[in-house]
Amino acid sequence: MNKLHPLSLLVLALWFSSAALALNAPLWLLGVWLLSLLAAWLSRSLDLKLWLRQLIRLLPLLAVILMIQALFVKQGRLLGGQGWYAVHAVALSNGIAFCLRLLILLGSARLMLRLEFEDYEAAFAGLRLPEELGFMVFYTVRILPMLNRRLGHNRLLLRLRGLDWRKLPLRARLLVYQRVALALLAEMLTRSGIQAIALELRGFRSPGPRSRLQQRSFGLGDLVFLMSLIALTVSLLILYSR
Amino acid sequence: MNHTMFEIRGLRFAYPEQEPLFDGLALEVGSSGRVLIRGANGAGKSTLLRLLAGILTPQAGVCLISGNPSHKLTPSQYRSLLYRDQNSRANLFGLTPRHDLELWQLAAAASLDGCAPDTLEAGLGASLDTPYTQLSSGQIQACSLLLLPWLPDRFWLLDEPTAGLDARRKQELAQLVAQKRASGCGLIVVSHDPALPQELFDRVLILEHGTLREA
Repeated sequence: MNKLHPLSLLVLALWFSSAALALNAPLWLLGVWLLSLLAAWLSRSLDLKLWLRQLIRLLPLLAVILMIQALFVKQGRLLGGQGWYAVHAVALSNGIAFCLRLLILLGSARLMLRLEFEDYEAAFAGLRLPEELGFMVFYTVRILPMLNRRLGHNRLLLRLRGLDWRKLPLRARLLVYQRVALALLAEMLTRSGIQAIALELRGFRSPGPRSRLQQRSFGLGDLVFLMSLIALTVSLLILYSR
Repeated sequence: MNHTMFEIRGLRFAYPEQEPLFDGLALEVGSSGRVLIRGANGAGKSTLLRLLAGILTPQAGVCLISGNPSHKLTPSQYRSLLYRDQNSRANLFGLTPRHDLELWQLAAAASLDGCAPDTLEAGLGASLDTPYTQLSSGQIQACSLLLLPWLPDRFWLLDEPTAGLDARRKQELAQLVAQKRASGCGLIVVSHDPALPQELFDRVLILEHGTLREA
């Protein structure tokens, strides 16, 4: 999978996110999620330890999603409980589907994170799209992990001073939130400016073919992969519409 | 009373996909110990300080701060420490020195009771509202050390604290290090600068090939 053209990987990520939005049945979504995990593992963008840690961190959010669905959707067969805490089949199905959608989207993002700027450039060049678009997509994909790193550093600064984030009074916590948010925003803007200048200096928009783009042309593997993906999509559409 | 502040036994640490920097490292420093660490570039001095501060986690061995594993310290246990990274900007919070001061006031309000913004501005040579991006690297370093006089009751871990400072500020720092003995709290400094002479310290250690030896 590592030998695939970056465009194939981008198409795959797009396919997963589209499937997550288009499908409704939890079983189908579970299948897509497992496929996205398999793709991440094959492309070596899955660090099992890190993935498990992220999944554990997401559990409270997933639980809240399930709870909200259970509380507000009162359709379908009654599965248990009564009155306001009665859980119905549709609520459970919706909740599970929503959680799986979230996990698939995160999986797609992980797949895209594996790509470097050159990969995006090559992928977009393959589609004859402007390179600026490649830069924008690349930068957008990178913003979240960058923000996460900076947030981690700010948490470290608090810890090193002996401050417990959770024990701060609300007013102090709001002040810290405000300062952290401002610093993050400022850094994001500064860094994107520097990145853009660095790309310009490297001849980002200079005309003519580039040797590294020529080396990464579409191969037979990509063709087979894309045809398989199309076949899978068609089969899924036929099966799903029955 | 001088109890053991840092205790390292059989410490092993390697950065991902690199040879171990330390394998079986040992060190013991008392709460009032005054230690200067020297060593060649890349010997692992800053890494050692980061391990002592609990920022990095050792792969094997023990690294204790007052008997607690350094990488598992709670925020309240950090109140006895003050770590200053070699990258001085990384020590500072927010966008301006005032943001950093606000955070310190939340963390150590009692210690900073007599700390007036005017005094700090005079020490920094700039307004506390000047964005870090408009301060020189020397001023950033000075800013990261600005509150040291108000925090003598913490054990200082200073990584190259004189880097970028002018002669006057280096002298002031040397005075602070000399006065630290009176507080009863120690310090570990990583530095090669003659502005911090060996005489200011009880021990001078050389880090070489992953081991520490007395100079």
